[in-house]
Amino acid sequence: MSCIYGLTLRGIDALPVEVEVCLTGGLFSISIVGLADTAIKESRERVRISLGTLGIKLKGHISVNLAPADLPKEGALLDLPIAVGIAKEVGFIPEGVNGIFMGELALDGRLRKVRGGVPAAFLARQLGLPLFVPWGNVADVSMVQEVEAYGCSNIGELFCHLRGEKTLQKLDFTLPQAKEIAVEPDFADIKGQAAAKRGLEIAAAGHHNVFLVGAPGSGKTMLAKALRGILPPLSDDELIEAMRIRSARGLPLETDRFRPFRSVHHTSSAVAICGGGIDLKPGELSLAHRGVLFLDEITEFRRDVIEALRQPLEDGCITVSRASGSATYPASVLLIAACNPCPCGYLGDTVKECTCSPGDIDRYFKKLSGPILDRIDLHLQIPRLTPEELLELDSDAENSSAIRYRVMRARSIQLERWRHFGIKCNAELTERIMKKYLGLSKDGRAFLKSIGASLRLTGRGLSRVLKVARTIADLAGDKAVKDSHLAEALAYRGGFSFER
Amino acid sequence: MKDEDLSVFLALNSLKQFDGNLIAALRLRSIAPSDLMSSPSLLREFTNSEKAMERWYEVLSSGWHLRELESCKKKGIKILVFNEEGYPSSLNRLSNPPLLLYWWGRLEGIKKFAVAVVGTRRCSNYGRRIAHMLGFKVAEEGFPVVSGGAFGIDEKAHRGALKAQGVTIAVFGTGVDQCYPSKNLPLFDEIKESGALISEYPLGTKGMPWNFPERNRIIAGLSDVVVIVEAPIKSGAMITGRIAMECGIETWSVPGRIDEGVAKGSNLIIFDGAYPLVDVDSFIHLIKGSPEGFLIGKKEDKAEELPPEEKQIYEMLREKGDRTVDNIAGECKISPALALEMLGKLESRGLVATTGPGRWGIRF
Repeated sequence: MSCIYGLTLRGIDALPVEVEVCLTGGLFSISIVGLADTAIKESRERVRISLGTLGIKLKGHISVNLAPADLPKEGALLDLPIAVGIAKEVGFIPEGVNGIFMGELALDGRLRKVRGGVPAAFLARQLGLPLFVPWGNVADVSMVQEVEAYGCSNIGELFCHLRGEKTLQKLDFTLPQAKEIAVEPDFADIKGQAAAKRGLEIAAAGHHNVFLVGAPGSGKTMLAKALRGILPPLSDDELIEAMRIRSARGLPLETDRFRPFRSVHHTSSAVAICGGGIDLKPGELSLAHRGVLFLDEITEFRRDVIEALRQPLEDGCITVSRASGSATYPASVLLIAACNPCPCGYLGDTVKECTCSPGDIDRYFKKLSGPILDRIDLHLQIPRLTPEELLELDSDAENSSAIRYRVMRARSIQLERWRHFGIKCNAELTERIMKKYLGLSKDGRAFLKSIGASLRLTGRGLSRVLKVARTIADLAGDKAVKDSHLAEALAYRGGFSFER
Repeated sequence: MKDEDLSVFLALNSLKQFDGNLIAALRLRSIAPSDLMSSPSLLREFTNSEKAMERWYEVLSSGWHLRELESCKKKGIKILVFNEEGYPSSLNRLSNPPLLLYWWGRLEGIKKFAVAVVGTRRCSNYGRRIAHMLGFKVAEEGFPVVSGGAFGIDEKAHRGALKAQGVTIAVFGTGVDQCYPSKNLPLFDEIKESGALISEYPLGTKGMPWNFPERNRIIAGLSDVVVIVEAPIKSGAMITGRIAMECGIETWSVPGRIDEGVAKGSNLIIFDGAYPLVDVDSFIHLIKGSPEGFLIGKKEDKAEELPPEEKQIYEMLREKGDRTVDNIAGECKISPALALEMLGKLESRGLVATTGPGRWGIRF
């Protein structure tokens, strides 16, 4: 009997699978046991023919056991370990060979790319075994440090290596570097909307969640998409965190270091967004980890979907529990929610009259509970510009990379300041830290006292204003939060009722 | 008036057949309310409607009128009968004054010079702003404001008056104990405190579409000046305006843009002879009868004490109306961040507010 390692994916983790092969006499047949899915059951044909291309003729009854026996296994990535196990059992490759193998076989012996390269590399590092992957997975596997990994394009090449006839090149650790690629749309392409642009700059600098309210056609979606271009590039750790999830879902790698941007349609289910299913797949929230989750027309989402966002927005991770087990996925996102000011979309518009009754408007916003709104620091209102106003505007707007530079500087200030508290940005500030270490200046304190009564700020509303003001001060490079910063933060307080 | 007589009038009013003229007719034939009680068939002399007679007998036999009086007393709702003490004499100008009024609130303001501010529910931001300003300034001078209870112009006029801590009167097309539209309940409670909710309909009457035009004659009748803020051609405010003009009540209308349906009626009524309201302050001067007459009066300037940057923005918004941050930053030649900062400061002073998504304007 021979034994080597394969793996199967569960959520964003790779679990080791021992592949045991035993050859007994009799007529030729292959049987696979160990809770294998259909793709694995069918692998016997791919394995038999691709081994045949190397001149290995199989005889007798071959039993393949996938252990642990009670773990459901899925996917064609077990083709390669089964083939290697059989080759080892028939004596084609030496007895002492061991390692983790993953890959799907083609009938001519080529190896096809599979999903889960990054989790597999983590598993190999943990077990201390060499990892053999198809050439298509080389990019994701080489993102993990301290792994002995090899890429091969066909099964013949792999067997030559295992027999010691021709050595494969060990993969080097490489991470994709940040490239200066223009993100469409650039902030310079957006005419007007100075207030919204400034708001998004603050959001990017302090990692604040954003709410965009504006009439149809005012440019909410375009602004949300442009935000991606002013976010700082992913750091090494963040890149790997993000890639681990992408890789487990079989999504192509992004070669630059732009943060993920996931735009979710309002018909999506809670499972699609939070993750789940029989195999506990990560959802859109996790795919947007370290990036942006954009919920356009948030009032059209199902209420349970919106409420499901509460806990992950607070904790930065989400635990999905199903009958088949539970898994925790990272879900630290910058949420952008957008909606119209009323069902017809034209409340407070200068040209078109709104046709909604106050009851309609109430119902429209009923979906957004207080707890959700409390987690969104910046409320930006997007005016719908009239044609005359659009023509009036000068077109010398700043481009995204200039703004990104300021954002990165503000981020590094925050990182330095909050280092001892284990938080990275102002959005994560807790009530307790804010009370003691926010750094309000004297005039700031006086201003805060004067507005508290006149604007009827609630406790939560006040702490949102303070967080945003801290970020504005960081953008300006000021140590203390002054009254001017607080005054600007007030302008992003929002609310849905307009003084009419 | 004795309770028995009051209940007779409540019963008569519930038939929806009679107006204040009935009182004169009864007096002409020297029929006292108690006579109607003892011989109900006397009423046949005043109506040809079989249905009304049927209902009359039904009311008297079931004792509805007694229960109605009882529940009015319990709630503190006063009943003012035509030509009796307390009944607003200004309603006599109408050809069909209400037989009686349910009056919930304070009786002050009945005898005073009152100003009606009416307009459509679906009004523009401009209309809301003017209604609020009118309500505020009229009430500030001590004149009661009269209007309906609907959203839009009515609501804003009441709110303006309440803000000035003045007297405001809401005339309902439903029973006074009904809250229609229900979202205005807090507003009505506030009005009850300082002014009054009034109606000619029995308690519990739901809002029937034909009640509201009828109600409008009371708004006009109670007032000495009627101002139409914004009204399309077909609207309740136009009915109020027409009634006012027919009765010789001074009628004003706020000019609106001529290409907007929402101001078509209020513009038309100017053509038909209403005074155009071109300046709120001079309007106030005129109704006060002050010697300055049609001069633009003195204005207290809120901008005077502001720091220069805030003053610049405040004055710009006052001159040019609602603006986006782009406009403000461009026209004042400052950065958007600074513009937002100044708007935040002005907002905390209660001088500006958002009037629509991303648009800022001054507050009154």
